[in-house]
Amino acid sequence: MKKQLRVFHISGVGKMFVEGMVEGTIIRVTDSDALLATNRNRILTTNWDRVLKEHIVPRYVVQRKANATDSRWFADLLLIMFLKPSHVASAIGDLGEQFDRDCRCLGRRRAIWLYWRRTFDSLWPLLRRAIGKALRWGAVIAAVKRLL
Amino acid sequence: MSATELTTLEQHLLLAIIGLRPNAYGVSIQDYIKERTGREPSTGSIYASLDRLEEKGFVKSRQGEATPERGGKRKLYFTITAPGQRALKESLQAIDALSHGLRWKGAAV
Repeated sequence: MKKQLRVFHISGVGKMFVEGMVEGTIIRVTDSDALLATNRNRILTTNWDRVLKEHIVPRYVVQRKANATDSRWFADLLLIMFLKPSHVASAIGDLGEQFDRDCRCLGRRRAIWLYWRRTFDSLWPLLRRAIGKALRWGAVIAAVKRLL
Repeated sequence: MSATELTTLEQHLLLAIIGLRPNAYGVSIQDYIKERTGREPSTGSIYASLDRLEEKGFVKSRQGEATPERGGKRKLYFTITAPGQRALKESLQAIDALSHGLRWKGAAV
């Protein structure tokens, strides 16, 4: 029997919380991965590496895409405003990769907080560079005006 | 600052790019610097500095693969160029020359 697992929180490797789990339930995720529920919230398996790699992580990514309407679009917009166009996609991808890693290690709530902190930490150097460029151009224009 | 002079972050970035070759992209560079210096430069400061280094011709970038955890966004891999290596070497030699023979106050360092 195959059953869909809905992961809503992951707390470290070896533990995961699954909605609607009942003590003693065995869920066959694939033919080879059997997950044993030891209590209401915790399930154990002998093959965590494979389960995490093949099932939980892709599911989490799917869940993240489903939540794409969260406020992180605003963080992306801030980066788009100040980053060089050729660097925008990779910088947003880097933040997304770190967010994904933090979700798995620290949980979603903390990952969101870290995502915003990283975004705001990123803005100041970019803003400073943009101001520097604007001032340089301002100085050049002022010098040209004086000459003319 | 002249075009060939490097800031501390630029030195760190160039050293990380050499150390990670050929897998130097934003996250791996950030992790590399954090592991070795204990300080985590922000994504913005890394890209601002890499942009500056690219303008000077010290690094080159190429598009890499996109992965699901990156939301389908491609990685941008960086490699150091010959002028970049020369500038880094000169910069490190200058630090070495300045710190050579210094007598540190207090306990031996």
